[in-house]
Amino acid sequence: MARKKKRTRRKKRIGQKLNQLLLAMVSAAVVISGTVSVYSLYSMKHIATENGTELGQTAAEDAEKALENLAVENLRSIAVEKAAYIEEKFAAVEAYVLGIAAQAQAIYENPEGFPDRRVAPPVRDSHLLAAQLLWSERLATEGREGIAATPPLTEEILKLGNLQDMLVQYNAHNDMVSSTYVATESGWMIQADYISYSKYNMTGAESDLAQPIFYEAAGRQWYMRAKESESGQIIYTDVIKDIHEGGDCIVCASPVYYNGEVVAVAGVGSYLDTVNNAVLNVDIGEAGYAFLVNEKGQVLVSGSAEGETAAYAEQAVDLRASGNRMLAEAVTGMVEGRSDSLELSLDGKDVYLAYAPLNSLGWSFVTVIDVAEVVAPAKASQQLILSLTSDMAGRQDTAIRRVIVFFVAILVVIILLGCIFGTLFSRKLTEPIRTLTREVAKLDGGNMDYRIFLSTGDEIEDLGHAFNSMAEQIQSYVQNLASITAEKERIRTEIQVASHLQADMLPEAVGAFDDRDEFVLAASMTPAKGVGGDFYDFFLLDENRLALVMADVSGKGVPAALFMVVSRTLIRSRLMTVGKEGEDLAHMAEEINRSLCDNNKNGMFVTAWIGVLDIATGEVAYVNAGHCRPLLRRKNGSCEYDDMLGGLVLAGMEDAAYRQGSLRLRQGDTLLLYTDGVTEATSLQQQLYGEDRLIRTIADADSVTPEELLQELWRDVDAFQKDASQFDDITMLAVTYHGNGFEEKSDKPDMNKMKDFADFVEEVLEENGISMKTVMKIQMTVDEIYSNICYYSGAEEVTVGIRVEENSDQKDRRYKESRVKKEITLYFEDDGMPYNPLERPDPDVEKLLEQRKEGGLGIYLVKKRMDRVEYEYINERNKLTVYKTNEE
Amino acid sequence: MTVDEKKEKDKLVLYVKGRLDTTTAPQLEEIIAGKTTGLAELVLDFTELEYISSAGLRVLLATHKVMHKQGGSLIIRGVNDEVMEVLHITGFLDILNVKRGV
Repeated sequence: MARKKKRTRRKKRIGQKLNQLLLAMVSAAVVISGTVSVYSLYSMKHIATENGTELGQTAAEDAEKALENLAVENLRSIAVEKAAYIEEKFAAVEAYVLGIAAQAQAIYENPEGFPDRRVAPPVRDSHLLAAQLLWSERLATEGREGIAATPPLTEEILKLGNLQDMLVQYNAHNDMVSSTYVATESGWMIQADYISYSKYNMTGAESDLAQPIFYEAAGRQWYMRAKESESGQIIYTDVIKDIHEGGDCIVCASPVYYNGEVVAVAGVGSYLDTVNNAVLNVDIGEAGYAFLVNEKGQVLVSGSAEGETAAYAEQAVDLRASGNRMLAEAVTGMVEGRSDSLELSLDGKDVYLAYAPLNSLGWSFVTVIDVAEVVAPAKASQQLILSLTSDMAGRQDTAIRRVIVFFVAILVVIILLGCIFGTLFSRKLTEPIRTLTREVAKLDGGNMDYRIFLSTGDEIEDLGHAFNSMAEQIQSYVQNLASITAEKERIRTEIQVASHLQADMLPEAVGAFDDRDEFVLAASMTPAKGVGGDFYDFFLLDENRLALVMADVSGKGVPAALFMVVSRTLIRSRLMTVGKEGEDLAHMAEEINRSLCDNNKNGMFVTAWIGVLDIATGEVAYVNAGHCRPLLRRKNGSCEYDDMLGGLVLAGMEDAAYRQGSLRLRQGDTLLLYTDGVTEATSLQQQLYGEDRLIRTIADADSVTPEELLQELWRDVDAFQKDASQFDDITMLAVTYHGNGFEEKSDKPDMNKMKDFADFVEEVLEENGISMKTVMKIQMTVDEIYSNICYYSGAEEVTVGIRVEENSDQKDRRYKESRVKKEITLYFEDDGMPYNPLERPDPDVEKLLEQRKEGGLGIYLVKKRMDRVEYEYINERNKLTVYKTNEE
Repeated sequence: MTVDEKKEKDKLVLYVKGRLDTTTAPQLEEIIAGKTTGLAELVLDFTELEYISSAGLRVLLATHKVMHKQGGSLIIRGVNDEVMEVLHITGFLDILNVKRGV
């Protein structure tokens, strides 16, 4: 079911893929065109915004500049205009002065031409315009200090009295004029003004009021300056306080010369109110103002009540020395009579400043306006443009958003339409494929009888035919396979049975010789295929002889197994006769060879190692018929291969000759027999296990028992093979010889080595828990016997063997429990001259005293102190055996 | 085997320790050989002797002869059971002056 679901999903994918492709293409087109459009709109908006901003900036700058120019021009024209206006006023005044002076001069030069005219002194309390006669204290004839009676009128003053009408007229016709007058060198003065009352000292006594106060013109600034100047020249005084009224005024004066000397001075006093008004009333924007600078660089009048350009009357400062450098420079220009306009900072504000000179007075008229005020309109218009631009940008943003929404809507519609039409389209397109899939699904589950019928008229129909032929083929294959499998199964079962039979034929090592202490044996065979050609065998020929066989039949499988059975049976039966007849193994091998050669048409052969172990002595007689070299592992762990070659493989050649070999197993030695399955085990890298690795493995093995040793070897071989398949049977047999339980030590007889033997014996005894007392007795025995052998036997080799056995003595009824007795057997073997020390008579101690050389004392001691001593001469060796039970 | 000696006037005490066997017996014989001349009494202290072999017995016998010949005496003391048994078996007890204690 799971598989079917999976297929259904795959099928849908074809339709989906078409669908997705279509959708992707259309969507991409819409997205691209939408993106391009939105991008263009944004670009346009960007350009428009930029232009608007730039336009605002430029317009503001241009307007600012224009306004600035306009303002400066305005300032300058106001300055010039006002300067001219003021000068004009003063020009009239100057004309008056010159007129008065000229008339006075005319009078002096021709007094006869003029009648005498009296001028009245000032009238008390009068506010009317009138010419008044005033005089200096110098002319006073009598009277009290400060008060004078009218002095006697001179011709000079009578004639000058003709000027009085002129003086009054000038005053009446010009509002700037406060007073007009002429003063003589002699002390007279005629003055026309509206303030007759001021000529009286109103604070004085009543009597004083009869006469006006003295007036000394010669001490006045205007008089003195005029007296210094040329005829016809005009001088101005500083701005001074009117002596009578106390207002600001300025006097314009000119000298009158007669006969080269100044005889009188004509003057006109002007109030500065007119000038002040001209300055203060000037109208320059909202914060603009004007001020007047005199020839000393001081501000006379100012529209600004405070700050750098305010007028400070008495504390007036020279602005040329101002800390404001630009102001100082401008004021310098003013004093020098120049006209200019500039932008500078006043009282911390940027201002435009224009000035024009009043040439006659040496003053300058200055106009000032705030820059901010001038450019304000320009700033306003810039703001307007910028806000318009921003508005426009906002509107464009809205428009762009609308476009985006529009495109998204189109995209959604397209996707919806695409899904609907795409699904319909792909369904139609994949219909035949799905039909095919449904049909093929019916083949699923092994129903190969089904045939597909399709008539779509396209490739799908061809595919259906192809499936049909494939199904037919599979059907026939499946049938073939079933019959072959059945056949194979049958053969496999038979081989399995054969394998079991073969395995049963090999003796089981475990538990086979549990009753034998003299040796331990283990064996194993691991066939490569069901039945192998390897075999091993072992069995006791009699109580003292163990037959050992290790063989390898050429070839594998059933033929090898059959040949193995024949070989094994033959070898086993022939070995049996060896026991009876004491036959030589070489002869036996030759007979077996001949038997196997008979009827061996298949040319099979077998390699074999056949041996017989003498359990008592450890001697192994054997014949090696072309088999692997056995490996000997000595008790101390050293290993060696046995190199004895015995002859050709069995069943190889009818007349083949064989040789018998022999080796000696000592207590603790192990003999390892194996087939070439071990040494030719192959790793994945095609390397052979080899004899070197085998001997190393066996030498390094920690194993104690043969079984453990074989397991350890198998583990190593298996690890070496890893995943490589085993291609040959692996068969192993190991026998460890324990012999009769004697520990042995052999060496050349040498007194220097006696200690080695003594230590060897002592070690064995201590291992077996023998008492010190008994150890001493045994040691003494070794000492006596070994030294005798060394000194007298002439032997080449001596062997000392020792064994401790535990025997329970149940015969002794005196003890409730059976006592365990440790019985020590010690023997000495040498290949020296045959000599039985026991035949020697016991020594006589008395004789010993006399004869130094009396022997037999040692052997006598041994005989006395040991339980039993036996002598035998076997295998051309002296053997003295000593028995001793452990003394607790 | 080791031998310590202690001289008292004309009396010499040799403390024989370890094993007096075939290999060590000649050494003891040599030690004694140079010291017996004019010696009135030779004492062999066997307190720490582990065992004695026939070769050791021969040395004792030879020494006994030498001392006897020069009118002196050989005294063996501190003999343990083991050595005593050997001396007894071989009949040396009858000949030699042997003391169990010191």
